[in-house]
Amino acid sequence: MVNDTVSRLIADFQARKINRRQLVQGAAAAGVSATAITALIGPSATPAAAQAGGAIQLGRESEFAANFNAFKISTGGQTQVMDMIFGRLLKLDNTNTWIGDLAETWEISPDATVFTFGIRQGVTWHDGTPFTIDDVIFTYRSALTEEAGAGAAGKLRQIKGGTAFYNKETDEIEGLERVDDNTLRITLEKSNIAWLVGTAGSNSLLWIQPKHILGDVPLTDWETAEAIQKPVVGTGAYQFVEHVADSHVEFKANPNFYLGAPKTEQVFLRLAEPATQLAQLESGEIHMASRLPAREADRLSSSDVVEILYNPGNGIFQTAVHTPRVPDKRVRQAMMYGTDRQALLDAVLLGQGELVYSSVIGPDWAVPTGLNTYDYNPETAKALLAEAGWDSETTLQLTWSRGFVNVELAAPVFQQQMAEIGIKIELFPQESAAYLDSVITNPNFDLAWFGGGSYRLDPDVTSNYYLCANFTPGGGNTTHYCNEDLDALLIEGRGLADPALRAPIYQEVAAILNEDLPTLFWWSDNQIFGKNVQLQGVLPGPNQYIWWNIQDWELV
Amino acid sequence: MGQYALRRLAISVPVLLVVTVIAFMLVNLAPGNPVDAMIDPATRAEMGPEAIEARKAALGLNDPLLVRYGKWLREILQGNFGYSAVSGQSIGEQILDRIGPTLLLMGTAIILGTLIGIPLGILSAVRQYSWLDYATTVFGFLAISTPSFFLGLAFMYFFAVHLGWLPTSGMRTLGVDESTIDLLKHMIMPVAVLTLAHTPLSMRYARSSMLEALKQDYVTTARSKGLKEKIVLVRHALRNALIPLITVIGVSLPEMLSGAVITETIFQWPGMGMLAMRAVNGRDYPLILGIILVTAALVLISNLIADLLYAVADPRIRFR
Repeated sequence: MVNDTVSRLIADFQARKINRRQLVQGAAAAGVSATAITALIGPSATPAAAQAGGAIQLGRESEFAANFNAFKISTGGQTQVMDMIFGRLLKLDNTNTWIGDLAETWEISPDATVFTFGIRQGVTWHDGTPFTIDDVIFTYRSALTEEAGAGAAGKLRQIKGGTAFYNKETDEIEGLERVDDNTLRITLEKSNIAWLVGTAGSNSLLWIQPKHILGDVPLTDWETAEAIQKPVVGTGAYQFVEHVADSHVEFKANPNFYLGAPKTEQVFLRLAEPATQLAQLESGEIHMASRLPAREADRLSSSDVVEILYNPGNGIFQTAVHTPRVPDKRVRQAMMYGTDRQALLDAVLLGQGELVYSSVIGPDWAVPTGLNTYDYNPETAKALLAEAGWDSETTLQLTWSRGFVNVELAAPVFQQQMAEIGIKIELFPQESAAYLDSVITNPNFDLAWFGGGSYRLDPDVTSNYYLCANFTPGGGNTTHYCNEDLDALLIEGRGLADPALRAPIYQEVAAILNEDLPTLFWWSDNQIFGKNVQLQGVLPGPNQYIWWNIQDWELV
Repeated sequence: MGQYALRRLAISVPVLLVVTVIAFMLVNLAPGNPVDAMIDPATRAEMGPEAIEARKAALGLNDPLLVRYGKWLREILQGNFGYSAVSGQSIGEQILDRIGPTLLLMGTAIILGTLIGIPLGILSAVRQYSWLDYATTVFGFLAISTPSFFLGLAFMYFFAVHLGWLPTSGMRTLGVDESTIDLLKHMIMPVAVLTLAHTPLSMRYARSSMLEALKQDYVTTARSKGLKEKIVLVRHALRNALIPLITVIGVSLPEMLSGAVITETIFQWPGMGMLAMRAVNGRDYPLILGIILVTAALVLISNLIADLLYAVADPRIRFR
């Protein structure tokens, strides 16, 4: 009986007498779930996907720009393009663990000074030319010049002799050694285990470039060079086919990829506004969208076409306090006690995140314990303010980059909760360039609210933001907080390779930041991806570069 | 008339020069620069100040404003729009690439909007205060007051997601061979949104100028001569009513090439509007200036064409 009803509904649906919604509702009335119906009729009408002969279509919100200059990559979209086409020495898997890419083996000395890479053999460039250690050395030497303008220059100058080479005082980089045809040894001036860790734009693990193609191009001409505008020769799983500005990048499988030919022949990376991407995900025109807003993800989770993946993020949603303006840590502690952070997280992200209490949040071995969690307590907050002699007439200005939705949701609540404990907050959203100027280039602000960062990759990421030497605009210390004890711990921590030895140091680092609060730490938001149910092989995890194993993705 | 056109063209040159000065100063006075806009704060912290300074120096951003303007002007006078500060692509090429898609999208929408709007406007003038007049007026106000991003998203959800009839965005289905049918399918929604925005414009202008013409003495004369109402309307009133419409169409011409920022962005139509949007967000100075210059030139040319067409349409106008 049930089967009859359902078969009739399916027949009607296939004859287009009823639409999909009516079919699913009718079937539900007959006791058959939407999932079962999907299994019977296949996912929603997917005009684009069905005709595409199995091409994977990925959504992206930021333009890739025509610039595929490996040294100047700055957006997620560009990073994704580069990761598909080019290899690096190492990369991170979905659990944020290093895996070999163009280096097959690697070894780090216990004092975190010498990094030895065994270069992978038998790899060929997309044009058939063999890949060798010379390509690696060429890439590193090129990046270590002023002309290259490389984002990684700061990192690379930590290589022994790197600064002298950058300043053209010598022609050899002492710390970049070719031990033999398949061994590269990089020695740093000072030990730094986190030398390997970085955001896309500043990563010391460069995308290795083809010497036989770019070797003769002067570095000042890279930007406009054919091989940079159209990077058809790489070593990655996919080969570049074409880039249509403001539209898409097309890739085809590299049959000679060192892990074997990718499972899907053709991939498109398409640019679209976030709202458009949501529609495309629902209509089946794209198979993955990243950075979904929590509310939209919640709505889409009932869709039979879309599967939502919630992964821990690497960044921290935080409010930096310009400490010269608010020098008393009791005031900053009062702000933490005075904010109901769990309620805020539930309201802004529907709980999709994890409250954090310092900037040390990972990897797992480094997660600190026993920190003050500053549970919501307006009375404690008021007492601390009274103790600090806070003048309730003082107004603090809170700025952020206009359009950052999560801050726009959270800031008015924060403002109101601060008013309740006696701190006046003025909301001052600014256009992104003006925001950057007042927070970083010419620091002049009280409180600045932002997110992001790669804190979970290594606890040393914290040193970028809190070392005394790293004050803005030169470095990343926006709070202008300076603590010599903290400096000593951070320097000690990056000088050790063994996590077991590093863990207790970062416990202390976390305790100091948790007590002094140069920054109000709110939470680490989950990264929310939406994926078509047909797309298989995606391994979710904290790694924001979810495409790290794209060679295994396929439409089933 | 030829002499008049030449004189107008000659005046355009200093006007364009003033436009470039103002545009150059405004663009540079806005906070930020291409290098800062490109690098996110987290990366910035790790890059170090030298790398950032090196990039600024390479783009010549550290030179004084006047020096930069001089250098830019010298290149422009030689017909060289330069290269994007962000992507390194040739600006001339980028603009040329975008003109085709924008012309297709905007041209279709403006032609459709005019073809629908003018007859509707004339009808509602001829039958003033009829139900048709009220209906078109209400429609016109609704269409012109609905923001295009809202209409665009609403169309997208209804026709692409709910019904699955049309593709959400782009110019073609990726992964299949290009075809005209496919292109037309991709055009339907953005063209509809833009046509809806354009129709009321020509409709309202047509209505008011037709009403104006119907009040003229020559219409009364024609009627009193005993001419048929149809001939009075078409030959006497309509011809004269169309003259002000030349202005409206003239104003729309530059729009055909400069694109629609919001609609193009929502529907991911790779036209001039999207290019302009990205240039401004990335503080891509040379690209912004290139687009402004092209748009300004188009406005001047369209105005000239509209003025010349007046004379063709109305023999009473003479150029001196």
